[in-house]
Amino acid sequence: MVSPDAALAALFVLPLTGALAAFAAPRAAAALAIGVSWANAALVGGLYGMVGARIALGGHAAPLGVALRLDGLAWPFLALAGALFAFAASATAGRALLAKPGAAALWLTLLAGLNALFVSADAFNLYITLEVVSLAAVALTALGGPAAGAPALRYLFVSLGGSIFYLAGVAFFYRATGALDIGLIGAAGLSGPALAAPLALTTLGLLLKAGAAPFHFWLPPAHAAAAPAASALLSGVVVKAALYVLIRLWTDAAPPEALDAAAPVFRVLGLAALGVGALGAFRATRLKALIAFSTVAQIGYAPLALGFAAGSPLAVQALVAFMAAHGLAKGAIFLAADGLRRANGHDALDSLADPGSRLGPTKGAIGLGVVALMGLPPSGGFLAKWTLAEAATAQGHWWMAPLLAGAAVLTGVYMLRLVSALVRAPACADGDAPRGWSALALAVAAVALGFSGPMLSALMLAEAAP
Amino acid sequence: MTGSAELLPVLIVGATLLSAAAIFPLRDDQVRLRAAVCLAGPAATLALVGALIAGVRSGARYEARFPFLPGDDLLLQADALSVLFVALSSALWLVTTVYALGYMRHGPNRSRFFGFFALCVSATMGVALAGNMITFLVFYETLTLATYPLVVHKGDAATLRAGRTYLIYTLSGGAMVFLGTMLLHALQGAGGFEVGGLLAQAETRPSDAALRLLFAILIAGVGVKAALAPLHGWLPLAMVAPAPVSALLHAVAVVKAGAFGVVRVVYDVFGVTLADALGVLPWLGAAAAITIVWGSVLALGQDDLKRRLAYSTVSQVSYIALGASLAHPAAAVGAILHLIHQGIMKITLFFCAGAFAEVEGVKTVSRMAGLGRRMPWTMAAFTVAALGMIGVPPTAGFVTKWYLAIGALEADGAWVVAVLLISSGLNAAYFLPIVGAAWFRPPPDDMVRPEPPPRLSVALMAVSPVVTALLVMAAALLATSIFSPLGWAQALALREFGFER
Repeated sequence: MVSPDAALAALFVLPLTGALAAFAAPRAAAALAIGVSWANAALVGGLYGMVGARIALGGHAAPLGVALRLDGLAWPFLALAGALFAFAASATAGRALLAKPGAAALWLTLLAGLNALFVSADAFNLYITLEVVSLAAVALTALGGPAAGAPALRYLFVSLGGSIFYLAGVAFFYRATGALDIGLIGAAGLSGPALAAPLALTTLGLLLKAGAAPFHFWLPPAHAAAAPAASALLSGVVVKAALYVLIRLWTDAAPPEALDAAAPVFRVLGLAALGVGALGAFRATRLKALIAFSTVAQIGYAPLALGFAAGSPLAVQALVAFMAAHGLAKGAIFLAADGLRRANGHDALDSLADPGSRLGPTKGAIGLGVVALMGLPPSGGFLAKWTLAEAATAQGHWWMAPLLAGAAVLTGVYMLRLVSALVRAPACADGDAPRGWSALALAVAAVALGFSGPMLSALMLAEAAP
Repeated sequence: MTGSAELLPVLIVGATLLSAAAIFPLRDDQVRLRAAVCLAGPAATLALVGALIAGVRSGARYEARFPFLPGDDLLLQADALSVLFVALSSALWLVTTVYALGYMRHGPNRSRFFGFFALCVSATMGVALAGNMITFLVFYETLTLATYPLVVHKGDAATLRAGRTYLIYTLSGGAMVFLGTMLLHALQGAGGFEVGGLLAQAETRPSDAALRLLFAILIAGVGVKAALAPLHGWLPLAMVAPAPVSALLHAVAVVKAGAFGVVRVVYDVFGVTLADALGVLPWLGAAAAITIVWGSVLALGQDDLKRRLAYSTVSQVSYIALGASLAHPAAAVGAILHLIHQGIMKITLFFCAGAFAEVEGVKTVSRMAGLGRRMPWTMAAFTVAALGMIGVPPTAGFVTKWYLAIGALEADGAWVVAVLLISSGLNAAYFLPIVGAAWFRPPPDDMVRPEPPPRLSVALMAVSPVVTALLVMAAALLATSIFSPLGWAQALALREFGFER
């Protein structure tokens, strides 16, 4: 039996070692990245049994040492990253990206950063890991080719700006409490401006990094210009990293009363994202632009759910389900869109046609992915919607039920622009476009997530235990 | 779950899913293998349904639960109502598959077509066997999605536009069912469908206003698929689909799932007594009556045969809602029976319409003269089904209308009898001239016949409607035998109205 210490440390030691090896041996880099991505997925699978572990690296407990923890909130995010990295690396689009110089090392660095972020229990570590994630993500975006240069640069500036706000907030926390551990900050019982100022600063920084409306302007160009496999990771899990920190701060460092007070702001931000994303999706003319704007909309569910999370573990559970369902589905759709584009030879959204019967898995991936994004049963998106509707109506917010029901129809109508391509005749000669099995696997996972309700509940209970 | 027998509902849904999963990966040129797989699915399902019918007759209870949402299970169960619908669906799935194998003999994406065809039946089985509202919602939405690729099968611009309208209507309907399910959950917790009404058995009754709102939301949700006016706009547009799809949509899958939903909501969610006490039934009845007359009036003006049949469906399916709204056992028998009877009659008509178009190139009413001589078997089947729609004995339609009329008279609803008479008159006005011209007038001079399909195709397209037309007669002639749905419908109605158990 592996000790929790070793297993948790392996979460970032394994990909970091892989990154160094990939840097040292460029010829074997792509194969290495694929192998390590799968090994990481297996590791995360094995960690399910250790949820609840909390370790102090080097034997120093907080506030002196660096604490890691694996709780019911962290595991779903680790699993999301694990699945996305493994399947995206194996996809044809992933292998094409990894064959570029430096890509494999960046790929594994990004994975190491994400893993470390999800198990970090302290605000400064979260900052460091956020930086690693952002820089690796920007560099991966830039690998998308000449057209990706400008969007990647903008992404970099926004990300650095976000980091400054976040770091300033953390500094205020440290000044007020002398602690960096999120739990200790929460236990310090701050109130008034001493609590509001750092919360506002960190939240602002994180919303910038997540591309949550009204700070979404940088996201669609970056996610649309990156290589397909990079887009899958960026939309699938990178933006979730900032949202994950946001959940951590508001549920662990801030008292429920603070979240309750900020709830209306979060709800408005969430609704704004849903609207802005939908509008952009209706106006998009390119395939990947549509998918990227759908990300802008879907990110809105995070602040929206946070707006009901004060004292409601159910809303947090809904939030986790939203993130996981969107991550898997969006990863699947970005990968599958690559096949659709290559079969058609262009990416003009409204004239894309049926990519042919050989690309059945690609079509299935897009179809199932859209079902999960719409939140139709029995997908993971439905689980998220139902849970959030239940949490919100239990707090007397009945308007949320029709809103969530309507959002499904709205999503369906704009995503139909993508889905109708799959059936538009005449079918194009598909040539050598990838068939899309990896994408299909992710999409099936996004739908199967709909049956994970009991598991998610159990995970959330594990978190509540001391 | 204690024994394998309780798994029967799961096996039935599973068999249909499995057959879809087996069809999708096949290449389009694997014609024989695909035909074998396509027929094996319904055959296996029919065998399972046979076992289910025998089990339910002997009083066995089938119930399988799976944990799903916080506090809500997926629940598959077989009660008498689900058995009726499951039997109809599996039998007509087999017949339609035979027909479709003849009809879809060329063109791309045939594996996709038959795969979604099976998936569509799968979702219908799920709707039939759903034991609570959440499960119903899951399959109701799945049905919407599985049908879309069938409706837009041709893939041209006009088809995609129609598919978009179809999807917007049905997704909005699904959103209403989601809302209703949410509200029901809040009012009543995680209860399942109950004969006599889930809500009627609640210990603390929610306010009348909340219940009326719930009724309106749920009926609007299922009313979209049931094409209850003014939510029927998608149905005539969906006629862009290939004939076997229209047949399935109108007889078994989409429209029927909506009508089945109306019956479930009235009888098993509210219970007819509670719904009556709330005063919501006359509203449902009025909507149904308006739909019946309005659909028939619109059908009169259609020259395109499939569009005429579509408006006729709008009208005919609402008999089910009308019967459910009357709060009388005889009318309930009529409503439940019509779930079956409308299915076998309408599927026959669509089979024939498709065959006329494929074999003789006839798509409009004005060019149907003389068809009786060219395609006597098919035209005979069409005639029987058309007479059934009008309600002429000895056909299934007569039995339905008879029970509806008796129920209406005993429930002091003479206006309903008037609606039935007007509707039958209109039915006759839009069907009899077709039948008369087809048998007694010479074909038009400028008849251009398409390349005749292979003989096997023609045979398959002729056998299917003849079989279903025989069922239309049998449903009336053998109404009192144990094989007929009438006995089931009577037993159901008696229990719903509290005369038994």
